[in-house]
Amino acid sequence: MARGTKDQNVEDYLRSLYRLLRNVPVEARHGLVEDIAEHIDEGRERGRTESEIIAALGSPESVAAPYLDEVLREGNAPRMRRIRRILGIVALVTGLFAAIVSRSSDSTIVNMGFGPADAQGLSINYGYSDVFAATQLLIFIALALMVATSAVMKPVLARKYSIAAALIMTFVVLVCGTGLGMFFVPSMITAWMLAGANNLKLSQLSRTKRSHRIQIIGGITMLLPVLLIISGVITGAVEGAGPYIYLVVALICGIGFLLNLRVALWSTCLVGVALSVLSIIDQGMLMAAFWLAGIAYFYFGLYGLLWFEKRALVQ
Amino acid sequence: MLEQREKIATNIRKGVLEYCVLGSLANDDKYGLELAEELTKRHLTAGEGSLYPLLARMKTAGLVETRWEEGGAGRKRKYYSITEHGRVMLKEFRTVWAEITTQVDELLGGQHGQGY
Repeated sequence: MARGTKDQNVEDYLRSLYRLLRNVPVEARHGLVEDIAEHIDEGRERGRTESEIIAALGSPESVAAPYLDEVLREGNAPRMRRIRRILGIVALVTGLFAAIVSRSSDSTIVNMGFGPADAQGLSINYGYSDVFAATQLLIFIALALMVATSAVMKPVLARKYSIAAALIMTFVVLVCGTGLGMFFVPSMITAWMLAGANNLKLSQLSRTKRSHRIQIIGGITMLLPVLLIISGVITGAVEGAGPYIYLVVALICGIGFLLNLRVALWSTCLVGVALSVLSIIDQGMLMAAFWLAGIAYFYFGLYGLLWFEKRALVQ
Repeated sequence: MLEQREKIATNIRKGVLEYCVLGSLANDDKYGLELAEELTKRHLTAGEGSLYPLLARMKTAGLVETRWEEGGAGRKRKYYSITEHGRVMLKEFRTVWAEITTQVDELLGGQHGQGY
């Protein structure tokens, strides 16, 4: 299309229409602007002047209005509202859980890497001030609240806010490192899931594609360790009932996840919670491994429950 | 007076524009500008631009489909045509519309004598 010959008015018109549609799914946005551009070209060929054409089109606002209404309606649709509410609750619960756990955990201050150098190596149970403990708890709770808030905001505002909250959480995790940062990981993932849920630009098609990707990644993540365990059992490197229990759990969750079975999604979610709680009850060497594996299971399961299309509806 | 008239017309058009598009496409396939000009000429739409979001929605709903054809000046033209589903909906609308206009005419005619 030869845009170069067009009047400044036409350029302005199309540009402001494009800008108005910034929160609209990309395909719809391009589609509408293209339709209007074609309409203008056809009109010029008919010998209509550019100002005539633009006057007949109506204001860019009135042209964009149906799409903007739809975006707001989508964001407020019962399903989206429910998903955002659930994520808000998950943000609060995981935030509070992490706050309590990190407070009761021995290793936090050691790994925080700030404060006087000789205090850094001390366990928090010795000479550890109440003020610091309370502050740490408050910070956790404040961060959990920060993440959860976007669940009850208006759609367009929620989108910007939730991205900011997710970026802050990512920053917190990176700054706190492998010790304390680990407890912020659930809040960080929830924050990104909320940012995704608040993203009105994602069309239904993109969401379905994304779900398929997560389904494959989740399935592989859960099934890959199975191979290691099987080879471990065959070579005799691992012994006892533990590996077999894990084998069964991972197979059920992983295969069920790939097949999008509701029961498997729930199991994956619950196994995740169980693993995380287990890691807290028995804080051994493998605490980090269990904690992170639990988080992976929990969030894969949660994602599936929230976003995967129900099989009964598809068929 | 004119402003109020416009307001009433806008409200009513909103509900029927979709079926006017179907009705127009039922006769023959048209491209965007053709459709816009016809509807504007009949005072069925206030702004030509608002037709395109409507057409996109109708396409998603399976009421119309589009195809590209050679237009003037070697450019591709997007033609809209009515689908089977669109024809069914248009038929339904005709029934509903006939019923409504009959009832409304009768009611208004009864109260103020021939509606004036």
